[in-house]
Amino acid sequence: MGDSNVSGQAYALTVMAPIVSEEVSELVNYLDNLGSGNASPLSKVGGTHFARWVVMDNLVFEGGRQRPDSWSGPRLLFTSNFDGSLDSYLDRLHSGLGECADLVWGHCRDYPQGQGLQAFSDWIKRYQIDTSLFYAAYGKMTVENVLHSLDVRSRLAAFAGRHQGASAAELKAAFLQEFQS
Amino acid sequence: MSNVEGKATAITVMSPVWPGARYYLSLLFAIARHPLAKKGLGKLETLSFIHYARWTVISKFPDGDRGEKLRCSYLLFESNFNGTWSEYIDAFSEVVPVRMWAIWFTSFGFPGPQPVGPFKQYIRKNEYVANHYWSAYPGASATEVISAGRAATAVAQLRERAEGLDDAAFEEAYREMLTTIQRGL
Amino acid sequence: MTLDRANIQGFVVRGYRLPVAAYLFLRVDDPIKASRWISYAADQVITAAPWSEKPAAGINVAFTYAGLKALLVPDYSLAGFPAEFREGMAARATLLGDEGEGHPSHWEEPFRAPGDLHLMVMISAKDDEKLEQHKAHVCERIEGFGGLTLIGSQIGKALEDGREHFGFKDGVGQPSIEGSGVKPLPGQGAVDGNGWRPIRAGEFILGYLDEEDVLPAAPTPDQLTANGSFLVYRKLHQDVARFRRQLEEAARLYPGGVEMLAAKMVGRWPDGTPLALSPDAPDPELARDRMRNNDFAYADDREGEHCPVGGHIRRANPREGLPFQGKLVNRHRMIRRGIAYGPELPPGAEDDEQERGLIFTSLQASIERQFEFVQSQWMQSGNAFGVGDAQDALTGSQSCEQPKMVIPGCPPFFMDSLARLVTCRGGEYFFTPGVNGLHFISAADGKE
Repeated sequence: MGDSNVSGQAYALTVMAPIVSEEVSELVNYLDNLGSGNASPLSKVGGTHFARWVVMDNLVFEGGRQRPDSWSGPRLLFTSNFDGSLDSYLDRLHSGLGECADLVWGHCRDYPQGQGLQAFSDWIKRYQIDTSLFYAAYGKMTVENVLHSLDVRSRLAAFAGRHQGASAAELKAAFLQEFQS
Repeated sequence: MSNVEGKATAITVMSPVWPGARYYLSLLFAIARHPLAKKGLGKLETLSFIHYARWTVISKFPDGDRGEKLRCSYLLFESNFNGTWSEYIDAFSEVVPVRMWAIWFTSFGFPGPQPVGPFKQYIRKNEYVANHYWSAYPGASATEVISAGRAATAVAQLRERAEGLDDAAFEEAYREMLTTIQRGL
Repeated sequence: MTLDRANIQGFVVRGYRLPVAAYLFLRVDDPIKASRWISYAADQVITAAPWSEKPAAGINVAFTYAGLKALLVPDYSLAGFPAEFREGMAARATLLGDEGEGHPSHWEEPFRAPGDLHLMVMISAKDDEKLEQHKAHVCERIEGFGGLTLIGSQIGKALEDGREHFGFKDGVGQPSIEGSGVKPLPGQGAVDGNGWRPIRAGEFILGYLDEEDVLPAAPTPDQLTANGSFLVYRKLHQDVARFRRQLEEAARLYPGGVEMLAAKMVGRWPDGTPLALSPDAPDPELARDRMRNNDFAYADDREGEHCPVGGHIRRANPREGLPFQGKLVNRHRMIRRGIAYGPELPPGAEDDEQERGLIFTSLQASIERQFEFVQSQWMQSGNAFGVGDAQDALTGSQSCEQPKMVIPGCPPFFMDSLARLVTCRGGEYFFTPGVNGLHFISAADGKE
């Protein structure tokens, strides 16, 4: 039946690791102050569609019939929707994030600080939780596909407006010019 | 600390579930994953504002070598979508209440998907805000991504045919292409 | 379920069809004295009780959050009002697309510094003379009681033939309300199989069951909120000259011509004929026939070849244009009671730079779920309809990167470089209480 983490060629990675309690505030500060968009360290990790870090301080308690629950300490959740295989992504994650990986996960209890890709990869997999059900609206499209398609769409809309009423010859020439590849 | 990045909104919900519910949930999701049941997710597709969504049943939290088993199991829901949080929950409540109920009825305190007021409060209570949220294309909605995919394919196909068409035939083909993909432009 | 019509302010349930109106904006200076006027006004307001004869003139009253506070409404009541009402419209500018020239920093008084705007008195009348008389009478009474100061006013006057300044017949589409006693017309309600059913009153009036079969969220106590509604007021400036210029320019390449292109922007021909029923030409008989002119659902027009998916009226009420048989639409309806303001710009005339436009008012149980949602998700965005960033060609701020409207067809027509035609000059969120609410407010002293 296939890998439940996969839909099309999209992979849903879920990682949850315990944070050293005394370091939660530092981690929260660091994450909250990361730049967004191109200034985010995640922008250096190729093939990432969406990703997030969530510091989960407590478990939710609903009261009523639920007996109070507790865990050993706060957890750091990391989720990512990315293209391709897990191993090649972890490689890109490690090299793309660079120092940032240590600055984030370094606050987790047994993180292999500065020990290279293999140790990092093994650690992430140890803290990975398999997805039970994954829905992807366009699981066959890679980030590159998406960005390229968005660009073509935008250019096509502009092109169509500009060349309304153009002669057939003009139209064909302009089209070949605009959409070279 | 924000759940919003451009047009994309993040939602992260983790709810404690009844004792034994993890068996029910595992079965539910296994059925939902089966190719024959794929149409169960069809309505999600029609609710076209979802980029990705995932559900995960957690009975043991990874921890060192042995993992940590808590009193309760937990249901994690994580999604990226467009539009407001309010609209998202409204739509789930109005359009797929049975699926909502099937997924969450074993979560403590779940009031049911309708009416939407208490359902929204319940989600809020079980929700976590992202400390860092990133999107590769924050300016595009899921619908736009899908339309763009169609547009890019259509343009590529026309491009390939173009050289071999005379001007009049090209114009005809171009009009046809625009007519087919006009909705997404 | 029948409505308590004697306790509901009249314009919530039906349009008066009185052609002139004045809006008086007031500040509370002395809550005790002002409360006495409110108590007096509670007996004066036009209610939804059946008329034996339509009044020649009458008033209705509404309050801002600041106003309720100034009148010493108890804290436990104030705390129950929704966030958007408490914040006021100016604070919601980003959400509503009130940017650039439409930004609150450019608004007229008394909306620009809204803290002083406490009450609005709406005067409706059958002609200018009656309006002046009644306005004078109202102002005299207000002065007599004391405690309230007039800080601004606005006059509205309907144009010929029920049209608005761009030349289109307005007000054809209104929701039919369950229990209102007003005969529902086909197309007004929610889609119901092949027909229509009235919308639950609770979508518009507090204290009645809504489309989810529960009571809409409301502050306490019922004495204050039952029979009340939330009112959105917006003075919308219309650049008629620019609208006509843009249309002329764009229509040069459009096979259907100027009138059809204009109709495509709106979703109806200028005379009110719906494109959904008559896409090729206006049909005056159909336009006049109230049993037919609103009876369409777009079910047979998914791609918008008749009425474009981005057409104004289709954005405002997508009917079956969105999937799931209206479930995604029924909770976003609004009652509209607008009136035009300013002199008409004659056809063909140069821009005279006069102030003209629409006093837009809508009534709903939830400003956020109804007005704000339609404005931000359906007017200022096209994503719900699959048209991406495209904003409403008629009312949008055109703040997206490529402001355009694609008119569906074989082939589609691109209306590019859309200019902003409508700019907000000021507005605010109000609560319009039932008569019971007026009594509660006038008796409140905030000490409980």
